[in-house]
Amino acid sequence: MQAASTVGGEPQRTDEAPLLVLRHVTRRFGGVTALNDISFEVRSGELLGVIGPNGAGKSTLLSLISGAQRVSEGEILFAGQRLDRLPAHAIARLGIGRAHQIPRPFGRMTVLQNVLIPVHARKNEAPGRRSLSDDAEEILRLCGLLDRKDRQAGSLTLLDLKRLELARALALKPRLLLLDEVAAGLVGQEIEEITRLIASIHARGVTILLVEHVQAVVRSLARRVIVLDWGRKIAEGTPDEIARHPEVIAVYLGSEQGEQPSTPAAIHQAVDEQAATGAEVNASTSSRHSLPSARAMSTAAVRPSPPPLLDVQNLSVDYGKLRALRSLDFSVGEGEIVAVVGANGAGKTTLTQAISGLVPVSEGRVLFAGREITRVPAHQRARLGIALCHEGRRLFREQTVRENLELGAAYATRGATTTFAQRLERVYDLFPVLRERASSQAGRLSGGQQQMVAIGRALMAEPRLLLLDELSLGLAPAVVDQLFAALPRILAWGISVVLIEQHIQRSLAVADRVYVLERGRVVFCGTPDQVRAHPALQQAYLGVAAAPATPADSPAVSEQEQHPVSGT
Amino acid sequence: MKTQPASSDQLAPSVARRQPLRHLAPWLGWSVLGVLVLLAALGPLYLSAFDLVLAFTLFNYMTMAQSWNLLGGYGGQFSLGHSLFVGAGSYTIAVLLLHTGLPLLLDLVLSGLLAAALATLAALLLMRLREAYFSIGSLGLAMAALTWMLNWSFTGATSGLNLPPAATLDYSTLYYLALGLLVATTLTIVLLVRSPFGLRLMAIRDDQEAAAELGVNSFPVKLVTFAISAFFVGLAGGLIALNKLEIEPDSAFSMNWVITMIIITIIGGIATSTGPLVGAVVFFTLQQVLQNSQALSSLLTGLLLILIIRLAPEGLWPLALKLGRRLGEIFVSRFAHSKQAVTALGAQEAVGGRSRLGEG
Repeated sequence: MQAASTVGGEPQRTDEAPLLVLRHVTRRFGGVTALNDISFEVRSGELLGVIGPNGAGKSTLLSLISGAQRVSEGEILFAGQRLDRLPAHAIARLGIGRAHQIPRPFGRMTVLQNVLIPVHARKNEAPGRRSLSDDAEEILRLCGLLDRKDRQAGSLTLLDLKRLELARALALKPRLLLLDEVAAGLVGQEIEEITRLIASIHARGVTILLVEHVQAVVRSLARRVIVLDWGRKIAEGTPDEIARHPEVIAVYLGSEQGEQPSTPAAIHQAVDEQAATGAEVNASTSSRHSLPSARAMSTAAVRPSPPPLLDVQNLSVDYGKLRALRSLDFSVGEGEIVAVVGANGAGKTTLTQAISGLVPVSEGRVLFAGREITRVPAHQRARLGIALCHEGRRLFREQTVRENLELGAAYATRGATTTFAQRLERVYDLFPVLRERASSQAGRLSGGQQQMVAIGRALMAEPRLLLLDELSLGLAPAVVDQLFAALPRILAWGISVVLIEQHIQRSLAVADRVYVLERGRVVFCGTPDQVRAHPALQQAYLGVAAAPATPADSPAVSEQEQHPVSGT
Repeated sequence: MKTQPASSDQLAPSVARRQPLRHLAPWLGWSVLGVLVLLAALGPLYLSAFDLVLAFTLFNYMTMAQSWNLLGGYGGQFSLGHSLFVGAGSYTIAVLLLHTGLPLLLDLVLSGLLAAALATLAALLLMRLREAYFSIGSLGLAMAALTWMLNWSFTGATSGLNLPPAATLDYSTLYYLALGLLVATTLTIVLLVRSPFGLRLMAIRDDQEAAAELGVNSFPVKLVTFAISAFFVGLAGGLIALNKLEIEPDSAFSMNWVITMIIITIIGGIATSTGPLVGAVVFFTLQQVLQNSQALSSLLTGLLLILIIRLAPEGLWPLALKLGRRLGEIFVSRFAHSKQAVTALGAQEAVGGRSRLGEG
C-alpha cells in the first residue's frame, strides 16, 4: 500500500514510550491565565481526545505545542527534545502538524500549492526519493481533494477547507498530529466522513491529539480523553468514564449543588430590589412568571398563546453548501426569557444572526410584532426593536464607554418612550461600574465590564427584544453572577430576552422556556424542568444519553468505529 | 452560453469542451512572447534615436515594476521605500565612475549589489513590522535617505553629481542594457515564483503563522526577496543615471519612482508576472500621449487606477485573460455545436440544461 509510506510508519497501536510530554505548562496573557499547570503525556501511536467548554484553553494548548505561542512556565518535550524554545517552523519540521479550528488556507494559492508548502519544508530532512508533487497529490487523494487540486484554496467549501487543513498537516509526514475541532461546523454525513478520515490516518500509526466539540467524534475515535476547564485539567480517562465524571458533567451542564443556588439567590435579590422601586415593575415581573406556567408543554409546538413578539417559522439558513439551520420553529413571547442551548456548531449564533438580519434566510419566515421581517435588512430590524449582543461583543474599542453607549442610542427603536438621559441613567443603574468608568476606553476594560458595555449599548436603543449571544463566555463566575442578576431588571423594562449561554444550569434557572438545538434542529423545547428531566440535553452536549441511547452512540458501535480502516 | 457558475462539479462536459483551448493557450502565449522579444532585439534597426530613449524608459519602468511586484505582489510586503534603491543605484554608479577605474559593467552590477545590501539592512529593521507598519517604515527609511543625500557633501549634496564624459553611451547600447536587464529580471522572477521559494513567499503573504506551522521560516524568505527586489531596482537606477548623466537627490530619490512602480503593477495586475509589463505600456503610453498637459495625464492615470480598483481589482492582464478565455469558450462551443449538431443535438441540450441548473 503506497499511501502508508506517505503518512507515517507501519501501522501500529499504542506503544509505551511517551511521544509528547507536558510538564506543568502554564500560559498567561497579561493578567489572564489561559492554561494553568497542565501536565499529561501522549504515548506513541495513541489518539488522545481533549475536550472542554469554550474558553477552556484547548486551542491555546495546541498553539503552545505547535510553537505558535510561547509557554510562560513549564516544559514540553517531543521524543525527548524540548519544544518550548523552538520556533514554529522548526517544530513543524520535527514532524508536528496542526489543523486549525478555523481553516487558514493560503487563499490565493491552489489546493496543490497549499500542500506543496509542507512537502517542501519536509524535504530538508529527507532528500530525494520520488517527485514531491506526486507526494502531495497522494495526500490530496487520501483527503478527497485530488479533483480540486487546481482550484484556488479560497474558493473551497467549509468541508473541503477542513480537509485541506488536514492534508497540509499530513504533508509534513507528522509523527504527531494536532487536530483542532476538525468537525466543528460540519453536519451529519460530513462529520462521519471526517471521522473516517481521522481514523484511517490514526491507523497508519500517526499519534493524534484531538481537540473536539462534537462528542460523537471523540467517543468514536479516542480511547483516552482529558478534560480542560478554565485552563485546568479536571479529568482524564476513557470516554465513558469522562461522560459519567461528575465534575465534567458539572462543567458542561452546571452542577445542581454548586452553581445553581447562588444564581437564583442573586436573582431573587435583584427582583426584590426592583419590587421596592415601583409597582410597574411588579406587574411585569408577575406577568412574566404567569406566562410560562400557562404554557408548560413539552413539544416543539409550544407557542405563546397571544401572538408572540417574535415568531420564527420553518427557518433554514445556509452558508454556501452548508445548512446551518434546518426547518426551525422558534418563538418568544412578550416579557419572556427564552434560553437556547446546544453544543458548539448547533446553530445558536446563526439563529440570533438570522433573527437580527445578519445572515440571509434560505427558507421560512421571521415575524416580529406581527410584521413579517424575513427580508428586512439588519439596520431596519434594529430600529424595529431587535438588539443583538454579539458573541465577542464587538465594542468600539477605541471609544469611551460613554461614547459606546451614545452610539447605541443613535439609532433607537422607533417610538421609543424614554429619553436618552433616562436610558443612560437606567444603564448606569444596571451596571454602576460603567458610570465610574464612563470616560475610559472600552477596549481597556476587563472582559466582564466590556460585556456590560455591550449589553448597555444594546439597551440604549430601547429594544423590544434583546438577543444575548454567549452572555458569560470567558468570564469569571463572580462577573457572571452580576450579569445574570441584571436579567430580571431588563425584563422588568418590558424587554424580551433570547439567551444563549454555555452555563446550562444558569440559563435553565432564569429561563421561561428552553430550546435545545442539535446540528441546526430543535430537538426539544419546554420549560426548564422538562428539559432537566429529558435526555435530549445530555445527548446534545455529551453525546450520551442518560436514558436509552441511540444506536449511533452506544459503546458497542463506537468500538467498531474505532477500526473503520478495515473498510477502506 | 455562459459557463461561469460556481458549482463546476456538474459542468464536466463544458470543462471537456474547454480542453483544446487549454492546450492552445500556452503555445499562443509563447509565440506572441517570441515575436515581441525578436522585435525588441531588432529595435535599433528600425527605431529612431528618440524612440530608443522612449523604449529605454519603458523597459526601466517594466523592470522596476516587476521587481516591486515580487516583494509587494507575490510577497505581500507593500513597500513604499523602493525609491531608496533607485537613488542608491544611480549614486553608486556615479561615484564608482568618478572615483574608480572599474569597468562600466562591473560598476553597474555593484550598483545593484549595493542596493541589495541596503535592502538587507533595511529588512533587518523592517521585517518585524507587518502590513501598514511595514509600508510606513519603508517610506520613512527612503525619506531619511533622501534627507541624508541632500546634505552629504561627498555626493555634492543638493547639486548632485555629473557623470564623467567617458560614461556616455550611445542610445542603442543603453537600449540593449535596459532590454537585457528587463529580460533578466522577468526571467529571474518568473522562475523564482514558480519555485518552492516562491510558494513559500506566497504562503507567508497569505498567512504567516499558518506557514510557520507548516515548516516555513519566514525571515530568510522575506529577507532574500527584499534583497532580490532591490537588486534589480538598483540596476535600473544605475541605468537611469547612465542615461541622464547628471543626478541630484530630489529626482534620484523621488517618491515618484515607487508610486510609478505601484501604479503600473496595480493597473497591469498585481502578483502576476505579465501584469507589470502590460501596466507599464498603458501607463507610459498615457504619459507620453498627454506629456504636454501633465495635469491631465495625472488625472487620467488616477481615474484609470480608480476604475481598475473598482471594476477589475486583479488588474488589466487577468481581466484580459478572463475575457480571452470567455471568447475562446464561446468560439469552441459554437464550433463543437455546429459539428455535432446533427449527431448529438439531444445530448447538447441536456448539457445546456444542466449547466443552467448549475448557475441557479
